[in-house]
Amino acid sequence: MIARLLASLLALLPVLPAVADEAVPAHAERVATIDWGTAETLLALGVTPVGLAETAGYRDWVGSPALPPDVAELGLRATPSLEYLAALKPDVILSTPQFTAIEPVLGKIAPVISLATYTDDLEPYRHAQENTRRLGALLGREQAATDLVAATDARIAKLKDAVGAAATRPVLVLYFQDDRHAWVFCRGSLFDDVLKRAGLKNAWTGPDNFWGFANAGVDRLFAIRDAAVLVIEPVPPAVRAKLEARDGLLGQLPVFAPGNHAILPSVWGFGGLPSAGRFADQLLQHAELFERGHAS
Amino acid sequence: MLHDRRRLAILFAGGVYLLLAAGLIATNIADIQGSEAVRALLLDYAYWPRLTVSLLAGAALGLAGVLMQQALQNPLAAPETLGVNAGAHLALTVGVLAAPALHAAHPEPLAIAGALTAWGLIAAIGWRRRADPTTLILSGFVVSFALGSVSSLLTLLNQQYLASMFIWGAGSLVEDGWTGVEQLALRVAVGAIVTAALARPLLILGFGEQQAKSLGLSKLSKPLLLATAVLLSASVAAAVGIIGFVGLAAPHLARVLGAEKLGERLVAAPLAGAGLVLLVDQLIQRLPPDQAANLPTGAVTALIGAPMLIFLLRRVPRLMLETGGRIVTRLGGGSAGRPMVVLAGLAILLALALALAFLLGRAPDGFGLHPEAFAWRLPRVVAACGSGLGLGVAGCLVQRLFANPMASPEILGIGGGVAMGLIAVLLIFADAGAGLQLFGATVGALVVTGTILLLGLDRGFTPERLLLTGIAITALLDASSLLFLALGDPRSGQVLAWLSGSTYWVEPDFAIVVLLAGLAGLALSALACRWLEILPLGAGVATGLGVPLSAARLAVLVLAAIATAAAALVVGPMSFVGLLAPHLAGLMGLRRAGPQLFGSAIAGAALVVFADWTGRVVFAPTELPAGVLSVLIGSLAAMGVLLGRKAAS
Repeated sequence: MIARLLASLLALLPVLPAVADEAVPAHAERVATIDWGTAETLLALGVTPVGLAETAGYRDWVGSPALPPDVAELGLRATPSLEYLAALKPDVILSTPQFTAIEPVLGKIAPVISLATYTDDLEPYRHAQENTRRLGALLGREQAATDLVAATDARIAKLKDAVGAAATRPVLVLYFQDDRHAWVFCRGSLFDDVLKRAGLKNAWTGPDNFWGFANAGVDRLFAIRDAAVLVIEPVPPAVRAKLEARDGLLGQLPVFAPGNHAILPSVWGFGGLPSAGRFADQLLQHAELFERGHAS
Repeated sequence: MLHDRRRLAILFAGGVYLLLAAGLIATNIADIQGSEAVRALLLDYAYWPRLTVSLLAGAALGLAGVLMQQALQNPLAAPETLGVNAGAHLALTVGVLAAPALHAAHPEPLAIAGALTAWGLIAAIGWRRRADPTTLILSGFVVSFALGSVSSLLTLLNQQYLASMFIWGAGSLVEDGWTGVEQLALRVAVGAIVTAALARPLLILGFGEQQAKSLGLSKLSKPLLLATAVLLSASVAAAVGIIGFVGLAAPHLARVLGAEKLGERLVAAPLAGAGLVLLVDQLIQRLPPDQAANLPTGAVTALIGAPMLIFLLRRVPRLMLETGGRIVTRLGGGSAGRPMVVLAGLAILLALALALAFLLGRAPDGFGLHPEAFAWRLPRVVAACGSGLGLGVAGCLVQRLFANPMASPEILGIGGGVAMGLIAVLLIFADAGAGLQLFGATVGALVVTGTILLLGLDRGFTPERLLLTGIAITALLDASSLLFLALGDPRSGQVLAWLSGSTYWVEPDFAIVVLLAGLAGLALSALACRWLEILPLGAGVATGLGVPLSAARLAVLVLAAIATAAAALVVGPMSFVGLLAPHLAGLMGLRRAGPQLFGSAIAGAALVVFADWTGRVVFAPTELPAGVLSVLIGSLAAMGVLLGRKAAS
């Protein structure tokens, strides 16, 4: 009985759907996606998705490009409603490897294209470029895709020019979970790739995970002697209070000295080229932070 | 002579501990990097507060544990077994979502209110059978799951907003400054003063209810002492999060170290708790910083503490666990003269549920048939039906095997094994597909069953001990999944969906496998009907009637495990369907083994099919997993069973 059950379970092993781009109708118009990063790329290409998972979350965490109100809500990202999705009659459903488990089910509604940005080779920016071009080809927006890739590169180049040779200070990019814990973006993150391309150095050299961030207690941030600090919104109230009152470890960290850190409006850390571009623009506004000899 | 040797051993162990702790502290301090000023800041704001808070939290939990165990005369009472953590968790989750400012400024009142509510619920159930320790622990378990399922639903719907709650749940001791430490210290001091003032009543409570009454003990002392214990543990929960199993383990550790008298235990248990948390926390700080950051102390103490509970169960005097009286299988409800009629009725109910789930869906244009959706509704309905069948069969098997109406595959920890196997696979293979995930889950179920079998063979299948072992295994699962969530891995959404038991991803092939496994389990169990009829009558009767006792028990347990393994993959590790279904059958008067088995299977199937449908349509397009809804329904019903037991017995 056990052997039989195991055998039948193992027989189910190869379940990955292999959908070629050719399976998608030429110049597909009705596109649905469950990934926020893909959604922002679509919008930047001038394609409004017919449906997106957790639209409220997209508006809170990604924000821009703004999601038009007529985009249908599909439910949770991990389990988008099949009946709602089917009712939209999409030509193609865009997914990421994170959702491999549900792709066979989604595949019954429309061809599923899985776009990998965050992978083992830790080069999300390059993957985001490839995905943009692939989406362009898929949706008949080749020119828009080429433009988006070029425009994003240009935004980063502009940053590189602005900080120029003066930018020898490393940069620490973090997202606070509470006043004692932060996610620090490291190698493998979109933000790190932007820093690299702009000629900036990430101050965090610790090991990285698949998604390009590390968990860190605030006490570990002391190991960083000299860096420009970028804190990404939303910032928990307790963190804001400590930074303003220069209270606690957080407030007394040399790198958190007034004028040495900036709070950036929410940028999605797991997004695509639009997030990368927005991040570059925001860095540009704080270019003086990266100059050697600034503040601390 | 022997006494002296024991004292020597304890002194030796204490000396080794002190040396180890001092060594760890010295190396950890020496390892702090930076300039003189930075080192001073780090010591003053991070290292010493963290060390102090580890001592305070451990001491508070140790004291709370002694108070609970003594006042309730229950060796297994502790903040984690009495719902304090689940109550605090729910209240804080609601706080983060509904009133973030209030939550940020005053987490303590929230945590305390939640903990007191949970405790109130448990007490309401437990009070009815005051001398039965197992019932109280089971009530705590069931109430924790009812509250936990609400927390799970909130978490599923707001995952992105609750990252801080994952850290909280895993109990990180990272500190920044002394504010939190001072508040906790104040509360621990109050707790210690109240305890000292009420030391005599506490001692008298230990003699038992009757004695306490005859000695003229004030009615107020017990609630006051218990409230102190709840406040102490809720304060720890609010200050640093969940530090698992210290409240349970510390009093026992104190006893092992020779603290027999209450007065000694009141001092020794907080010391043991403080020592335990300090040691674990200092050891974690020895790890490379990146690993240390991913290992919150509370989850680690739970990972150590859960197996410790299994170990402690072997030491707890047999009498204390079993004076509660053997629980009678019989429940209220009329006895049915015609089981076939009842079974036919149940079958019609299942048919209706199947038709509803298959035919009626919801799309943007509202409720309707939507025939184009049949193709992907079908596998879900089939899988839900199959897993309900499997759990119904498994529930009936284990309840009869242990002659205990609170036994179920979920409570025995088989479902927990499934989930741990799954998490292990996801941790090892970043992009594990469905097949690999299934494989890991099945291995997990078999490992837990093997453990249950080994413990059972060793201890002669004592029902209470096995149930509590299951609770420990479930706690182990909780700790592992909390750790996984605290890692902040974006795959945690998928794991949450899995743990909460969704039919969403089910492929047609797999749905058929689940259905066949359920049906095969039912058929094989039907063959063992005679054993199932006789086993609840007790070992003596069974042997007398020529049942090969060990072989029969082994066969029934393996059968139950396999029926659970396939089902739990669909409906989640903690569905409570296996607990509920046999009771539904019993309530309808299906008492003999055969009819109850079939009734339980059909009722289980109808329940899961209905829960799955509800989850799909109520908040559409947002889907609630069948498993979480089953937990909610099942744990509420289980509370009813516990409440009703007094009336029935």
